[in-house]
Amino acid sequence: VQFAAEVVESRMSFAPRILLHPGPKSAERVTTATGSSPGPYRLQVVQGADLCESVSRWISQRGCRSAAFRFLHGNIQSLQIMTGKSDLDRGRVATFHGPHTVSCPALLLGCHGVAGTSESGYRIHAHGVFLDSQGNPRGCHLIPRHCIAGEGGVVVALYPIDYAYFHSLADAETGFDLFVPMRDVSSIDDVT
Amino acid sequence: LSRIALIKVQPNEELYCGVESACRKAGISRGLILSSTGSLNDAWLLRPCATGGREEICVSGPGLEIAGLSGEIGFDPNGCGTSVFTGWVTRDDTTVTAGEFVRGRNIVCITYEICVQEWVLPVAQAVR
Repeated sequence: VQFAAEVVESRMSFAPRILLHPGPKSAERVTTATGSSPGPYRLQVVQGADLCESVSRWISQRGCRSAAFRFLHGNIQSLQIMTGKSDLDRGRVATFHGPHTVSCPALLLGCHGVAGTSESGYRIHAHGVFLDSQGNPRGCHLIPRHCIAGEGGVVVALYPIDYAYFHSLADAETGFDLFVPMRDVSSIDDVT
Repeated sequence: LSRIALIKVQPNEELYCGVESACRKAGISRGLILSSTGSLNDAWLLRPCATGGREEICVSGPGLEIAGLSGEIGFDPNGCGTSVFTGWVTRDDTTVTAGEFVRGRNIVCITYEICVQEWVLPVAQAVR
């Protein structure tokens, strides 16, 4: 695997950057909710199926609100991804950039994700790295319905989460809809 | 069943500090990262160098996406964090750089969402 070393700025000495976001700073800087999982389940996304939609469908059928998952290995026959980009000129720190079409067939090198709820149903947030058909590693943000499993499918390790879940809410500080950990109010016992 | 902590770290918080403080709050003294997504202002990574040892590099952002992060969360007997995270970051052109995230230098950009599984089994001291 060749990395793009020419764009790495080596041995930079300045202090870590703090950036000003457009909204009021939230008082709680780290949010946590604790649940439990009977996982991991080993799933296989079959050729021709979308990775994100397959995960959404599985957790919907199981009846849980949230899951952690990793796409472990497999081939990809069609892929579009988004990246992040500076947006300082327009008042936000960063924004999405893309979509970028990755040349396929691509090989999945690794992909992490969380599934949660939103006002409009399940939402998946997954980031991954793929080796494109030219042998270059590419990432990052998977676009639902645009990441299609190729020959042999894609293997998933999935941890359904009970008693806690991620829910997408408008974040005043950044201006994005973001996942927030929540306690599952339907749970009887506090697992902590 | 094993306990899972769902964590969100806000912008401008340091990656290790955020995750370790959340684990302390959840009562998790040792944990395994199941999955995570998020972004960084800039990425500071340690990589092996040809002359031996390791070098620290910075990939300039903001908006660098963390494409995959693996590792464990732990604390020494004094309660100081000993976690180690390795992974990949991607730039806006989809290119990728990998390494070990440098403690104290990786600042969350928009959000960092992570699921940590509590590690309850005995930890092996050494294996040959």
